[in-house]
Amino acid sequence: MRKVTKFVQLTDTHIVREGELAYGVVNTAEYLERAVKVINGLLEYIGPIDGVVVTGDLADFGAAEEYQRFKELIKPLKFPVFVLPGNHDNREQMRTAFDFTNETGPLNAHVKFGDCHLITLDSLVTGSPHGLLTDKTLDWLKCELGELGNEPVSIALHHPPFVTGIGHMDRQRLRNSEQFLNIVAQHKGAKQVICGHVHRHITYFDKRCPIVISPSPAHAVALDHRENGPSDFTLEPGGILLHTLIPETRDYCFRSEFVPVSPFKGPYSFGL
Amino acid sequence: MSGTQIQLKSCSKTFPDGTRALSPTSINVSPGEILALLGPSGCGKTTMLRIIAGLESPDETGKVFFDDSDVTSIPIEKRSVGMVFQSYALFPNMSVRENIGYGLKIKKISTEKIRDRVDEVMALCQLEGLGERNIKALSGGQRQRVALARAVAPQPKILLLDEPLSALDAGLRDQLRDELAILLRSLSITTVFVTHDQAEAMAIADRVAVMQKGHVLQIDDPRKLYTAPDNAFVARFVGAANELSGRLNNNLFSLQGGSLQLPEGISAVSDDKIYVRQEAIKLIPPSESELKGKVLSSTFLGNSQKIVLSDVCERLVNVITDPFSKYEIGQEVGLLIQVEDILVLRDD
Repeated sequence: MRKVTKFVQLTDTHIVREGELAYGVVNTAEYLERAVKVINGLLEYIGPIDGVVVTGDLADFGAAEEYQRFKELIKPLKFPVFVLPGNHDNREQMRTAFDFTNETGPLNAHVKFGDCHLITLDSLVTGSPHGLLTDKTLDWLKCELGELGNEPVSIALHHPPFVTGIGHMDRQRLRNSEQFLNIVAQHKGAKQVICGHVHRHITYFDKRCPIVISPSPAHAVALDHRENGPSDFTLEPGGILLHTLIPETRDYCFRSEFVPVSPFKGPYSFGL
Repeated sequence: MSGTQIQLKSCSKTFPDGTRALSPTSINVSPGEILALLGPSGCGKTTMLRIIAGLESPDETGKVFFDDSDVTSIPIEKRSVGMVFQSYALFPNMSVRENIGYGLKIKKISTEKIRDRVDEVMALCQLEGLGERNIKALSGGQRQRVALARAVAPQPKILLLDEPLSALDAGLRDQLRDELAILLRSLSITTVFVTHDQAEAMAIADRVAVMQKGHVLQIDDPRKLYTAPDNAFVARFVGAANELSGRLNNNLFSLQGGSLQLPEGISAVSDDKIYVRQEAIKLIPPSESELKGKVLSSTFLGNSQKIVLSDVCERLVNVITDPFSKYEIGQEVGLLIQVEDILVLRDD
């Protein structure tokens, strides 16, 4: 029986050590706490969730204490949580802190949420802000997708494989986007690519695959399409994404929706 | 032997920027054979594996055959190959049994058939009794066997392994090397694996292809590679060899420490060098030998000892001998080298 699958994407939480603020300004732990409350609070309205994927930059400096703090903060989430590294993360610290099945090499994984395959890819280049998928990772992806036939798959990685228009972020995007998207294009079933890194909610419709970036629950990268715009951030309302895989008559479809985590008023009744 | 034959016909790989990862190469892998592609990084071994897998196309003239069918333009998912990556990623939220049966489930095979096949593969891979375990509860070696079991469950024609053991720490690697050798043999699937570790290649493979700079230098069974390497690169890569330099005059090879009588026919000593394996040199009293050296150091290795000699030729000479004989630093010793142990090699 095919069924609806729901999972939450959380990204760029940038957890710092207790008592510190990210960039001296942002209390990232408080935002994560809030996101966790929002996710748990949603359950009453949206029904069960199959899991959570965190698309990188869990920690701000990749320190062991930061991952411990992250794990403490997400403890109230009572479903499987899978993580992948971003440029602020440390691969080996993450391997130690979370359950990865491979003892060496990139932190790639293939998991399943309900009917949905989730392939998480490691695009971290140690010491650099930009992303790159190694040849071995691309080979592995090709093999995993090849085995899936037309089953639905969500492919998660930190660095977006497209240009967002924000210059300083685009300079540190995924370097081998074309190679990556050409492999994804070969998959015959329903598919989506989900990423983080840019701290904004952006969707992109490449003919090979729809791509969506999730905002961070904490700070946002300032919207600035000027060529040499400064690298600024704001505290505009952040959030998470709720991804739903829906079985339609012939195939599956993906639906992705923004859920804010900042406080707001309501609900009010439309009925008079 | 059951299984599928692999043939590469004149397969080369040139990248768009002009770099040549593989020079035109033709090899046959017999049904059921285990072939190792051995060499340092950048030698072309991974490119060759990727061409066999269908992850890479050879340059235009190259052809890949599985038995009689030309698979050159067939993508990996239709080639019926099982691939095990160095950094294998298993389903962390599934049991051992679910992991192994996964590929079969996707192929819509019936639950009973999946159960039977998974049982069979678990027995082959010595995973009996672990079926319900979570992947997280397994040791590194067990996980590796699950990765292998997952690859062979759909009964692939060809099994391909990319550095199968290098993800493991050294101690475990030695132990698993022998286990993997036995396991692969019992599967009787035509297998090609890539490694940079000569001990791994020699222990597991029926034949080893030693590669360097995009060329296969020699392809032979491990014993032959060791005892009769074609050139100095192979000799050094598959085990330590001493290079002795001297001058050949008729059949007499003269070195700093004396001379060696070479048999008739050994006349083509290139650059006046011969090669001898470390364990092929016996130490005898100096009075009994025409070739002498001085003990520079001795290192106890447990089941053997390593003696380093000076004054034999320009280079130091390493000798592996029994661990019990005592040698003093500075002591003069004689060298006994059997003629059949002398390797005459082309230079690389």
